[in-house]
Amino acid sequence: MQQRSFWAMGSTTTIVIDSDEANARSAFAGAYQTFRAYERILSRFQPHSDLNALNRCAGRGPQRVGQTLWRALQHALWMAYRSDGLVTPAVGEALHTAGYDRDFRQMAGISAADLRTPSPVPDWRLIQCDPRRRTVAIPAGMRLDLGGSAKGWTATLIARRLGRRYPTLVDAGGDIALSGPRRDGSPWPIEVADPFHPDPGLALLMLRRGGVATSGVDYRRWLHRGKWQHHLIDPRTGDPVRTDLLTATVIAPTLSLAEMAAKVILILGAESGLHWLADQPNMAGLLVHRDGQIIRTPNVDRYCWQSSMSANR
Amino acid sequence: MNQTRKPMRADVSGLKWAISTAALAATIGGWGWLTAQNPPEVAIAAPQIAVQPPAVERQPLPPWLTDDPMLPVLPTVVPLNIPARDQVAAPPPAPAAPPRAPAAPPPAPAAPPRAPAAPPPASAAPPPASAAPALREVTIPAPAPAPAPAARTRSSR
Repeated sequence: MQQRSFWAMGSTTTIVIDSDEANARSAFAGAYQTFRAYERILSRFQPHSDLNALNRCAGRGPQRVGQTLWRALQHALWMAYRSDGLVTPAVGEALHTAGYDRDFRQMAGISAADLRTPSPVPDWRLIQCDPRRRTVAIPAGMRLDLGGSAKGWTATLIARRLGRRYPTLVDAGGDIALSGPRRDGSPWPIEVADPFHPDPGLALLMLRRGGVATSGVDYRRWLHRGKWQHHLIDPRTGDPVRTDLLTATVIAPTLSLAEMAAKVILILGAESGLHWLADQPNMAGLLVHRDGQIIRTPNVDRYCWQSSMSANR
Repeated sequence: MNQTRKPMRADVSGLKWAISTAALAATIGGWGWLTAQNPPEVAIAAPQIAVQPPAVERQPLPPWLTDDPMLPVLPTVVPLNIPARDQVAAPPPAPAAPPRAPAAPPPAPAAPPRAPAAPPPASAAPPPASAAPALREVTIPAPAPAPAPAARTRSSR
């Protein structure tokens, strides 16, 4: 088992390869380069990124974009479609309004950006894409943010690419993509962190493939003009979401789906979120209420480690 | 110009017809002959099926089924932390009462003195240890330890 951690896309990324081969080092290097390259293209905080270049052309008609930005944007739009617009790439302006205007490490928990009245996020269906010419047209006033979506998409891509040679786990700041079972066929043990108690986990998941993601309002937040803000925007209001949940963890067939579902549940709240999750195929959730209550969907126990379970099963 | 005429071929269609007809006749005739060799039998009489009730022979019930069951007498299990009566040494004599303080009121004369740790009556005494059932040691396997997590999911760090 070999692993390597680095900072990319605003998070600590860890890649674990279940192999003892010395060639795995080149795989690590390739994955690192991919993360770095994609960050340069897709980041909202890098002024010369392709994404910012596109944002600067809002309202100026179709703009030809590169292959990576095109694929990442198509992926984000697909997630917007799956979530009925609750998880949308059009939240860039709302995040900027809330004070999230630079890398979170540079904010030190305080944002000094001008306080403006939030407004509902523009409809993601206003983004016009032409696949034949690979052009994108965004309306004036809209700013794209691919943040978590691009991170999950890149992690899934890396896990799939490395998974052709080695069993691979990619942990992108707590959002985890798996390429398949470990060498001996056993599942990967993944702990769900407890937002109230850092050390003991809420549950130990045993997953062979797919992804698991946790979204929450317990960490990435800052004080903006005396008001606590966080990075999860409710597109219906344009404001950071007011939710009764602290964190939502979702297990899904892919990391991208898990990440999207976790955000949707957090935006909808515990009751509506559980109803929404019940309609999604092959997903299980573990939610932590603000009062400490832990809510599990009935099928989450299938993925949890139990004392009667052998690690190699 | 001399024209050579193609010689007329003999008309053999009649012969073909004759051979075909003969073969067909031989086939049909053979089939008829074979059929006549083993004609199916006609079932005239309906099969008579007689259902007879099974002969039931009454047998006396075995005594173990009719007699009242004997309830087993279970020996009283001696708790491990209580020794048998014959293993208990005689109680030591009661120590001499310490001198009372003069201010203390005297005890009521009608109240009988409490016996110091009198042994239980014979009827309530547990049976000797030899009557205890044989105990079998059962080993319960310890639960498997949880594997060390390979990763931790939490809100984006």
